Amino acid sequence: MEAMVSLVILVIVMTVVLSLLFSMKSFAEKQQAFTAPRQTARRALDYVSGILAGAADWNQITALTSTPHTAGNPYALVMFSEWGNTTAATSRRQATYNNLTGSETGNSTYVVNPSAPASAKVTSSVFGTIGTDVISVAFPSPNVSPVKIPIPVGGWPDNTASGVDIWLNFAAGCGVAIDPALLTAADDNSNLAAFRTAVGAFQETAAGNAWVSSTMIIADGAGAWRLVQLTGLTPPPGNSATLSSDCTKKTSLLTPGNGRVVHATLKDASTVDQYFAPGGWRGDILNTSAYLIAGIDFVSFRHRTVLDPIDPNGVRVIGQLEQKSSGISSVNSTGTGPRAGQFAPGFFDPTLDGQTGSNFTPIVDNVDDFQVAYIMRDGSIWNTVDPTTGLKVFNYGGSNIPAQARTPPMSSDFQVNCLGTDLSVTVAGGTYLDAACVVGLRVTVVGRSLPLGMGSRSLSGVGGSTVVAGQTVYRYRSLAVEDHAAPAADDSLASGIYDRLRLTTTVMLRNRALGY
Amino acid sequence: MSRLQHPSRGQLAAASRSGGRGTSLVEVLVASAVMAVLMIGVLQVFSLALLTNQGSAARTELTYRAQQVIENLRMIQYFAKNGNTTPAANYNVATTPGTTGSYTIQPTTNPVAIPNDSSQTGFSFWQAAGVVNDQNDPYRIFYTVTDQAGAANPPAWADVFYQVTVTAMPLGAHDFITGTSATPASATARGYVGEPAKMKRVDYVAQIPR
Repeated sequence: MEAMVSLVILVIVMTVVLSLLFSMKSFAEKQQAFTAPRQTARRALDYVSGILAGAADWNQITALTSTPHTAGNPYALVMFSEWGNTTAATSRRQATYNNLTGSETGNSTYVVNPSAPASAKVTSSVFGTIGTDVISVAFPSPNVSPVKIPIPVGGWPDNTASGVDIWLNFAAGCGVAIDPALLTAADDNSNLAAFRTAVGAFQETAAGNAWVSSTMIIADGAGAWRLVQLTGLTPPPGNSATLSSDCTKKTSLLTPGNGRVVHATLKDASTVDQYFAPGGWRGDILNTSAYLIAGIDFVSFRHRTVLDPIDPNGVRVIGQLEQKSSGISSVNSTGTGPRAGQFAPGFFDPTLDGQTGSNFTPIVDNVDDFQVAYIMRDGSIWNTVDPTTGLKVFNYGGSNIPAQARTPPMSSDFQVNCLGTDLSVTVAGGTYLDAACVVGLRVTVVGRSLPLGMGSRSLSGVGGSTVVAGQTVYRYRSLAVEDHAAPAADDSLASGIYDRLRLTTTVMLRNRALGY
Repeated sequence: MSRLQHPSRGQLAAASRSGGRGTSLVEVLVASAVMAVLMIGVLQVFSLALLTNQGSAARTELTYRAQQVIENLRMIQYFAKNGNTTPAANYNVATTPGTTGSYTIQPTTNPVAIPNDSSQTGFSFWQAAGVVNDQNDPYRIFYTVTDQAGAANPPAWADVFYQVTVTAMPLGAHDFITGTSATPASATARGYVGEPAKMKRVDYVAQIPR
């Protein structure tokens, strides 16, 4: 009798304990799933917003009161780039995208998880996840300190596309002798080392192992500018024909000198892999009042869908936020851009970045969506699901992004008109919003948890209420954000597998709205 | 080295007389009762952990929303200071003329509620900004813009900044000082789970250029 009672009680206790254990497991999983998207979204936003808020113009508009502003062409937000010494439309490459579709020039779609059942197959595009945004910005370089090197009078004699010789008044590495005539070859070597550091010299690994500089600009006293790179930066005793120093030419109280201390070599602007801001190469830069300016670089962000590495069946997919920085390209451009081993700027390049192994690096996993909206100078915000007016886009050339001014005289199809609240750029065939008039960005990411176990799922979803037409909020389903509508199904898998959280931040570009 | 000691016949007899050879039903029941009490305690710990976590999650969410309000007020102030009050009107934020040609966010006497119903002015903008979702949100958000320059002992920054306090309150919470309360905007509004979460009011204070 006692044994039977004890056995019954033991069974009861075991049942309670086991159910408690399963509840604990489910509880722990749910807690993890509840916390993970918050941490993911916050981490992603903290990282991205800091860089985007620091987007820096290569050259400000200098004369807002006159039109056209030939000296302008701010480039904090990189909408387009141009390659080679041409202004043809075919040389223009898009660097920022709104809601990738897979049909963009150079883009294509593919099934991420081909081994999945038909209902669970996920289609993405080689540029990034369909429906997500790509943004490219210029920002202060983490590798090269800002430096502004004067070009002495006559130091840039041939301001043509093929003009490569340039002399610079750079003497930071020369000695401190009052009489420059006393400076020696040791000073020259020291000065060259300092110069190579100042311009961010590094060696390409492509054939020839050329030494090149980071991206810089040449700007004149009126503000006209273009992107440049130096080549032939071989360390001493290297090729003195392309890089040399003569500290005796530095200016001093005793001997004025002509300031032609460093002789360097510009990359030929007519080469096919030379990149430019929209407008291409500029021949109107005044070579009598020019500077070589370093210290700004490019970076871009995109969202990509990949196979979940922890799913042994190769069925499940995850989204990840990716970043591209300037560096040695690991793939060959499908166009006239860099070859593998050559320098590639950090903005998105459709001839490079649709390929496996491009320079994009994952930075945050389990991100479901990445959306960028543009806050214009007049306060209007684009890329917004507006329940009263519907989707708003600014549709230059079908790109759904702000237009980017191209500056005369290279092309007459763009003029900068970012005056007051006039945000338009006049382009052949229409008037569009100008990227130069963007003062802030509204960035949204959707964080996602790891998949919940079967015992922990909430198959009914939570908060499935209709908010406004076309927009719903489901905690366990993909979210509608900005102009990216919620999918009909949750990744083609059963609802309730993931928890999600949307986070949005509004950042004002410090370069254009300092103090806010 | 010790050696095992077998009980003597006398010891076994004594044990038998005292009933120590087995456990009685009473002892089992007592032991079960003790275990049950302990189990209840353990279960309560899990329940408490759940509520604590829900409360933390609520506070985290409220903090995020409050930060987003500040970010958008900064943006609105930027435009107002540049003479453009359209964004403020879109967000239903009151402005007042400042120095020549410019405006500024108007200091508020009472807390201003962020609209969370599609019928309210400015709702679509605050929704797109990620501050509110809909009328079923488990929280309400208020903000107060204070001009400290008029205070009895104004801080050194009072001439440069407004003090903005964003209060995010779970539904059901009530602020007895300001008189604000987070009343549901609809009958279907969902609240946070657990009483601790409903007490996780967040006050987020920031400075915005005047």
